[in-house]
Amino acid sequence: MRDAYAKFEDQGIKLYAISYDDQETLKEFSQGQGIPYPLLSDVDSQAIRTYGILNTEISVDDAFLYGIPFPGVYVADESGRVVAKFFYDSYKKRDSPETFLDAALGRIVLDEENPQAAGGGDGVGVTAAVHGQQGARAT
Amino acid sequence: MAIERDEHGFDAPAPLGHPGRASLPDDQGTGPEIGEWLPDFDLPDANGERVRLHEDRAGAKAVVVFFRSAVW
Repeated sequence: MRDAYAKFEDQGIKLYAISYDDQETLKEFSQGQGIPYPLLSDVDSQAIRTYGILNTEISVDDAFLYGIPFPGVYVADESGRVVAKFFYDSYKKRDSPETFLDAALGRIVLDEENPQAAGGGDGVGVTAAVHGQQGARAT
Repeated sequence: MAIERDEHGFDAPAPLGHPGRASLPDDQGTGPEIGEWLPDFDLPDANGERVRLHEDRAGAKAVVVFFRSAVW
């Protein structure tokens, strides 16, 4: 996702990445990985709850993990309406950042009957964390 | 906390089989639907600057990514 960011910028598409991490953690990650887009800190999962994607399978007693979302991606048009979204019914399914880009540019027609799709990309930075695939291995 | 890796390469500070690793449940909604307004949010970025989605994008298209964590 980090490497694809220039393509988003070129098309005038804003990118925001939200997690329950605190600012200090995000700062470290952002600087360490050279993340060029905003990483937003939703420590009390306020936005995650507003969107209705809090992972409710995790017990409130699980202090360390409670508050994470079901990971996913929304693409909005100029009016702020959702034109595409990508949620994952399996860790195995992954799409590239270019998929989100294409969705934002209206290049693909999404099946509204089955909006779930894989998301993600090259396993670097946020993309890796989106899927949890290689988050702990990021260098 | 111990980090364990599952068969998909997902490293997490949770035992294998923990719900934090689970796929999206069948009855789980996925938030705003196609055609709906993306709810606004007001969150600090890594530098403490507050970012409000619709104000910040200023009429531009936007991709909003929700991910589990930057550290695992």
